[in-house]
Amino acid sequence: MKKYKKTLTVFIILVVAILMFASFFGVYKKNENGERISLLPNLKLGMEFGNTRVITATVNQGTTSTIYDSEGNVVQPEEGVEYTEEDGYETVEQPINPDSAKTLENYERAKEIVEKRLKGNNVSEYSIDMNEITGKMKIEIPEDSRADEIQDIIQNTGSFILLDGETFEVVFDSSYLKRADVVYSQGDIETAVFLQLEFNEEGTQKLQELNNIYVETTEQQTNEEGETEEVTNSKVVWVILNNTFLGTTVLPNIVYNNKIMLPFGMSSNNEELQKAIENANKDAILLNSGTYPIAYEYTNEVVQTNINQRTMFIFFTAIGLVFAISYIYLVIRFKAKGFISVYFQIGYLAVLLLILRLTNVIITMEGISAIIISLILEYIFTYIVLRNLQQEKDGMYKKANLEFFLNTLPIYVISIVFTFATRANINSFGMGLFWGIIIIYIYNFIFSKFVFENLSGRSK
Amino acid sequence: MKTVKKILMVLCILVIIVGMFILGRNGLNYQEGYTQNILLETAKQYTVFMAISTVIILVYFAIRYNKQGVVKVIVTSVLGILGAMAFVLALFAIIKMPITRIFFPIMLATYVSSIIVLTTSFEENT
Repeated sequence: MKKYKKTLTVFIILVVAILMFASFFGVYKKNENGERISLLPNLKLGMEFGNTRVITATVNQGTTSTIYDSEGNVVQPEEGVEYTEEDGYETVEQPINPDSAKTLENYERAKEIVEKRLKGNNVSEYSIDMNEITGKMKIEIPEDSRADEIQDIIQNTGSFILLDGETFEVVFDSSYLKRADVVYSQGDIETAVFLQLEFNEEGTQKLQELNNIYVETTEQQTNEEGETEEVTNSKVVWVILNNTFLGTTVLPNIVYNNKIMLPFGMSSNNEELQKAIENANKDAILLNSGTYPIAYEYTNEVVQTNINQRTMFIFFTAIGLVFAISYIYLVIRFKAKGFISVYFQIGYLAVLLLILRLTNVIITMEGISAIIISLILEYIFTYIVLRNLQQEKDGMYKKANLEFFLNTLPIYVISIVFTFATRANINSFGMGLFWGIIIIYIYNFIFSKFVFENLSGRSK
Repeated sequence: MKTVKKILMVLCILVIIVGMFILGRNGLNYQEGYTQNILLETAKQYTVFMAISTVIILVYFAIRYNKQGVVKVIVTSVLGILGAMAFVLALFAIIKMPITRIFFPIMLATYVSSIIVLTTSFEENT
């Protein structure tokens, strides 16, 4: 029996050592080309540890010029022609954003629109710094493979426009929009994906009127040879969705039940359908977020992280020193058991990091804070267990578990509530703490319990 | 021991008063592109989750430690949590510690620590 206990103790210590090695140094294999490939996913670090893209949206202070002729008609300027007052023309400069539009309410509305677009597109890491006086916004997003796409989404007007095919006047726009949804139509063989636009009462009424104007008409005409023939005329609209020209059409082609249905794809292939749904969803999010009440000018730059290796070194050295002192105290107070407990606590950190890698949790500064809190909780747990085991009574491990559970129960509440957050920094804290607490129980039950009890000469 | 506790308590209150005075006069030392707008915006997001968890925890405290007096437990808890966070904020203001992305992780750690200390203290008296 004694031999069995020794073998198991050595086995547990070895398993913990392997886990530590795997977590801290990684597990690799060579592929066909002889390159080393990590078998474990990398830790996903928050945007504060990498480069970020800062998109600056400045309220457009520019003006537009409109030329009127002597009769007060708007003139479409032609290249190389000068429109002077002597010739009877008048040029009127108008600000792109009138002063009445430059209000805090509009600035906040624009900020809300940006937030809706970012949230709708599952961007969990971002920060928006808005100047309430100038309306200037600094939007910070991670500089990764999606950065260009997200920048386009932010800069998009988020509008739906129908232009008259002849005069190019706006005949209908998204100011009437109630909501945009992605809908499907299941056929016998293929499924079609549509973006469905529903409008308010006024919009519905206007759409009904337009639906009778922009149609295909067939007239009987007599040609030069005196024969009667049917001639089809189409009065079309130009369809512009989120800055993209979709094409020209007569309205009955896209209006069904007073709703506009824009086709995004038709296929029996799942991948193609998913792509169509994704694209339709992006446009739906843009339309539902609304149109900016003011026009912005955009610039962007890639900013390197402020958290450099030196800062990290100082930070982790300071934390490490505090833990080192605490571990020395454990060794002095509990001798051999204290020493082995330090080993197990390092093992705990290794297992926690492994789990965070495997569960794809984004580690932000808040996540690191949760990991440190988890390490402190593991220290408290170990301390309670060792203190109780010193008393050499049966059932002390269970008692230690109960004491720890009662003392840390409110922390479980915090961890669970925070995991519901969509923002990466808050979620990272919740997830870090959640896994930290769960692993304290599982890890200690599997590994350290047996060794501690075995060292104390009991196994209950 | 009680005298030491009282002295520490008075010192903490003094630090909070001085810190809040400095905070009102000079504000915080924002650095590395971190601004008051970002701080307030981030604080808004945290407030929802911290408020929900604090309410749940207070209900739990009120039920579990009702023998110690529900009002006393709740008042102690609220003062304890707010006091701890105000103390750290005051320290930030007094020593002009740079306010960067590390601010909220520190405040979160303070929040969690204050709850651990409160729970341990209530458990000891049970």
